Amino acid sequence: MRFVSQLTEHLQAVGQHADRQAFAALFEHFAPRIKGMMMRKGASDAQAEEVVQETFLAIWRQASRFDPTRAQASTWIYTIARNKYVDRVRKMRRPEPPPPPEPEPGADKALARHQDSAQLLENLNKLPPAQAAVLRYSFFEFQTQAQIAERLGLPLGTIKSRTRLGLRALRAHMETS
Amino acid sequence: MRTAHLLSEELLLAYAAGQSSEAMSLLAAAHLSLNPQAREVVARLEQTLAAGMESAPVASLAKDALPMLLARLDEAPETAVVVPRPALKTGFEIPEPLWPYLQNRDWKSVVPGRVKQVELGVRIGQTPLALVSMRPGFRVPTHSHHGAEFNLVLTGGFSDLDQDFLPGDVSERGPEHEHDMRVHEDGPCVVLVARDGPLIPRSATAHLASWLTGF
Repeated sequence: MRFVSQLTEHLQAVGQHADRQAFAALFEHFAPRIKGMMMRKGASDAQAEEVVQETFLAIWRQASRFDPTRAQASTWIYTIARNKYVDRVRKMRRPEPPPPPEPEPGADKALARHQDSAQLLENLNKLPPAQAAVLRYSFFEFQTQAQIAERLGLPLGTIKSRTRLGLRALRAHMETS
Repeated sequence: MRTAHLLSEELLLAYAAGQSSEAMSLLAAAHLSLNPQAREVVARLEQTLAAGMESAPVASLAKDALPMLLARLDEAPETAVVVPRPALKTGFEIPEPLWPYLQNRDWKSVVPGRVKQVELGVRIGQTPLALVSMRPGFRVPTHSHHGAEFNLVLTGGFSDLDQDFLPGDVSERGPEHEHDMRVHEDGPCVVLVARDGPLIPRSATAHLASWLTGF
């Protein structure tokens, strides 16, 4: 996982000594993915570009707060992009919990366990097909449960319970893999 | 360890994905502030969503996107608005996400001496979220709902359908559930209530009698 740890190093270089080259490298990797995610979420091209700009400004300003023992670089960047999406595209306030107190022993280890998309896909493939289908829409297409219900022509309640069961099974697979 | 009552995972997923309404995000944020298990579930969901983002079909950026960004790096950031702790008297630490919604708001008596509440400046449909404070031993009469009801315990505890709910727990009841709530005897209980529509008491008389007597 050389590539992944390189992204973490870039993010730390930005946080520790405002390294512009490392910042540009992060942009090159994540910006097209963030824009892709925004387009899937239904943002316009202009909104998606705006979210990318705002996300990277926040990365530049907040990188010193990134703690690799608590989150992967991609997760940390994902949460910033999501918050900018709520702010700029949905135009809503997003209440957030305050930063957690000291992590419980072992908790950070569990979270730091790397989870990449190949592994996620593999775990999804182990689920009952109906549950896997719903979760694929959630995680790869970024659809809301209402959108998934409409797409599959199923009641919202069915999508909710498949999501619930699927997430439970997915977690069980992740803990054993 | 006692199993915490968490908000159901599809709602935590909607929160982690940035898809919840402001009211449901507030409920989730207050829940996470008090409940490390819920926080861990959301952290894992965010990790999974980030894995999805990694594999998202890439979209090419405008040609000047990076130069434009680099030119903005030295801009002074907007100063963040600091929301003070609300003046509301509670006798417990109000979770921080609730602070902006409780500015200049105060308790109103619902059942004198037994129940009081303060409405927050955010609604689900027509129904505002509210903090409801109930005295020890108070019983909410048997009722159901038009929609879903969520009660997040902020302090104290209550029993509902033979389950105990303590600080950080959420009870989630759908329109199909008829239930009552009994506050534990060892102290008052304050819950954050998010409700999709008004309560439906089982009988008008029972409703009136129980709210007047508290039992």
